[in-house]
Amino acid sequence: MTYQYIQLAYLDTIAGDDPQLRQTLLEMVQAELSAAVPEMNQALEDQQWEELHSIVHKLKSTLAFIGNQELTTLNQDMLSCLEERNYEADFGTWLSKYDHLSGPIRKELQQELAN
Amino acid sequence: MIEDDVSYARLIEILLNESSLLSCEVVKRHTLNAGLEAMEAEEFSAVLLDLTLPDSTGFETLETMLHRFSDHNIIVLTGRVDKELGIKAVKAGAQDFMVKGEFDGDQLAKALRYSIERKNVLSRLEDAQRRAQIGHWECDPAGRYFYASKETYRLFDLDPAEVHFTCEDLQAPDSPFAPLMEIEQETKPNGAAKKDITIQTNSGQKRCLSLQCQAEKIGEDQYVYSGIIQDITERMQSEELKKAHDLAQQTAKIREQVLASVSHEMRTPMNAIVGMTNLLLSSSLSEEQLNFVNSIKQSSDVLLGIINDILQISALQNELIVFKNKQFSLLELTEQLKAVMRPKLGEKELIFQINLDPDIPDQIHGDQIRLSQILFNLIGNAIKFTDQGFIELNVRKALETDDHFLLQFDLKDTGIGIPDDKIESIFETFTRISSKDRITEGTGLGLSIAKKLIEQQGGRIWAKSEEGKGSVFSFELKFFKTDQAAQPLNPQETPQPYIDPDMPFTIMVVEDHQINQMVIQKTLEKQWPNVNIIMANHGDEAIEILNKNQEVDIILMDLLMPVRDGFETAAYIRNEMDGEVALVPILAMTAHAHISEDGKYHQYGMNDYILKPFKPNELFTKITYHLAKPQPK
Repeated sequence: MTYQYIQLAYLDTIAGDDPQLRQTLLEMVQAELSAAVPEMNQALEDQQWEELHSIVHKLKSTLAFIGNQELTTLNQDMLSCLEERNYEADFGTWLSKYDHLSGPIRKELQQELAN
Repeated sequence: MIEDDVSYARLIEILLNESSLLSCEVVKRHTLNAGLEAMEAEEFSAVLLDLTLPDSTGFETLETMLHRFSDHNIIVLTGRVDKELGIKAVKAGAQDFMVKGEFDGDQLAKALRYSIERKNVLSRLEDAQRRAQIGHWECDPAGRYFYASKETYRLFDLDPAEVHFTCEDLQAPDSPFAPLMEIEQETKPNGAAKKDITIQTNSGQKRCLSLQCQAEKIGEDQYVYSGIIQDITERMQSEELKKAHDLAQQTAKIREQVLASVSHEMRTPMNAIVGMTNLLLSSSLSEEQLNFVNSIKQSSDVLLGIINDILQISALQNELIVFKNKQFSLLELTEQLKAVMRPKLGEKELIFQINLDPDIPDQIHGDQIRLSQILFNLIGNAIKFTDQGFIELNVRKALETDDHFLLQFDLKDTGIGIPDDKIESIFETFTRISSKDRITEGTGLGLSIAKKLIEQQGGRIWAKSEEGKGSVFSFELKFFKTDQAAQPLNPQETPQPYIDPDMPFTIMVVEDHQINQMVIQKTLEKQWPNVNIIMANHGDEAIEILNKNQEVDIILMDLLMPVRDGFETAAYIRNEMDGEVALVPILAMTAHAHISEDGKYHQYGMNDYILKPFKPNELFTKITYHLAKPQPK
């Protein structure tokens, strides 16, 4: 099945011919993405930069399984700023975009899980 | 014009103004002191000097003037009865003399012109002498005449503006010009003499002077002398240096010949000692005897190594080494080196890594034995001077043509480094960097042999170092392509990942990210069913597991983790833990694409890295590579 927001080639490479592993990975990715957005917003609101860095860093691996280039780039931009301790960057706008993109991504992941 | 007769001075001015041969302005002063003051204030092309003035008379007037202004163009005006005085004045340093009432305007103008030109020529001559450091002098003892150029004064460390020697001064027993008098005496038998002398300058330095003098006989035991004097200090120093250098080279050559000769004579009995020791070792021995024989064996091996080094450097210096050109595997060569070096590396718990650029073909044409020897010497040297940290060999293609490659080898260590003033000499024979708190083994020939082996194959070697931080020794060597050149050395391609399926092994994964934990576990288990995976969520957990004597063959270490991150954990394992666990290979797992640039993972004791999200084949290859179990052929 072809999707607009997700591309599961890497996930398929890792899962290989193990459908159970594939399913588990999809669930874990789905859960992590869902949890990440509110966690990031909270960390930004509290200006907990290390916490925000930790979430964004962790998402780097997770996003590889989702295969959405826009979200991967967005995550990388945030990660670069956090590593350079550039806390003046417009994280608010980035997180809005994150939120905006993660909705349809989660929806497509859900469809894949249902198949 | 210094002339007390106002009318006469005015007359001279009118005569000069009327002459078409010279255009000049005449400044008139009526006493010697007024004239000297004017000369202090202004520079004149010529000075017309009357010798009889209200404040000075006769020859003293000229002497006073010359004492103050020895460089100036002075023309003396004398009366008709004082012609002899005029001649004496010229000998003393005046440019000319003119007899009052015996010249008209044009004659005076001509005389002034000639004197100005003559003075210019003399100035240029003085300048040339100063630049060439050559002076000249003339002496007529009978006529009580002596003249020395300014450079002559300077060569004797005298200031020509301050001192002016007369013939009488010259004959004084403590005269600095005594050497001139001496050589003048030496010219009498043959009319000429030449000699070199050394004087001490006021600043205490030695100055070498070459003197040449000629004597012209002008009467019974009467001579006029003229001579030149030249500063030859630099020439003498350079000749002395050359002599010392030639002597040193000759001594070094003799020393090396003697060493080579002695070593050659020693090698045969040494080989017998080593051979017999090996036979003894294979015989039945008590534990004590075995220890004794092992000591003999170790010392014999060291001694044989030294003998071989000396013989080899001698052969290299005489260009007697013939280089072979055969096909060999670079990967096999480096793996063999790694195996040979492992005990020495283990003694110091040093991390050693070899990184071959993937686009280098495995099979290349060149002198395998000599390349091994070069690398053996360089790595051995690096181990000798590195007490902790790592040694890393990187090999890359510096150039590729249709038929050959130029490979660059960079050997990096975290050793004691080399002081800036020693870096130039480290490749010289028998050179060892001395350190008060370190005893250096060996002959000091290793780097010299490596350099000669490289250069005699058309390559080059160089080193960079920072004292206290480490060194990088680099060399370039040409290798020819083989028919199998298209086969890349890429460790992802060849050798294929291979771990004996019958041999279980354990991988510890230190990772806090659950998805990554699962992915790594499933990926590894799929590849190696015999693998045992231990999962730790952070560094402290990993250390706790390792402290329980859990045997682990390799550790995959995430870098950014809670509680204790990967860097600190790796450093703890390397520095605080004992036994084999401190040497276990650690691969950093990171999402930072630039990790290789700063080498931080190396500094903390990790052997290699894997980029996340990882490619399964890359993970397998790196694990296989570090478990050092190459695929059997």
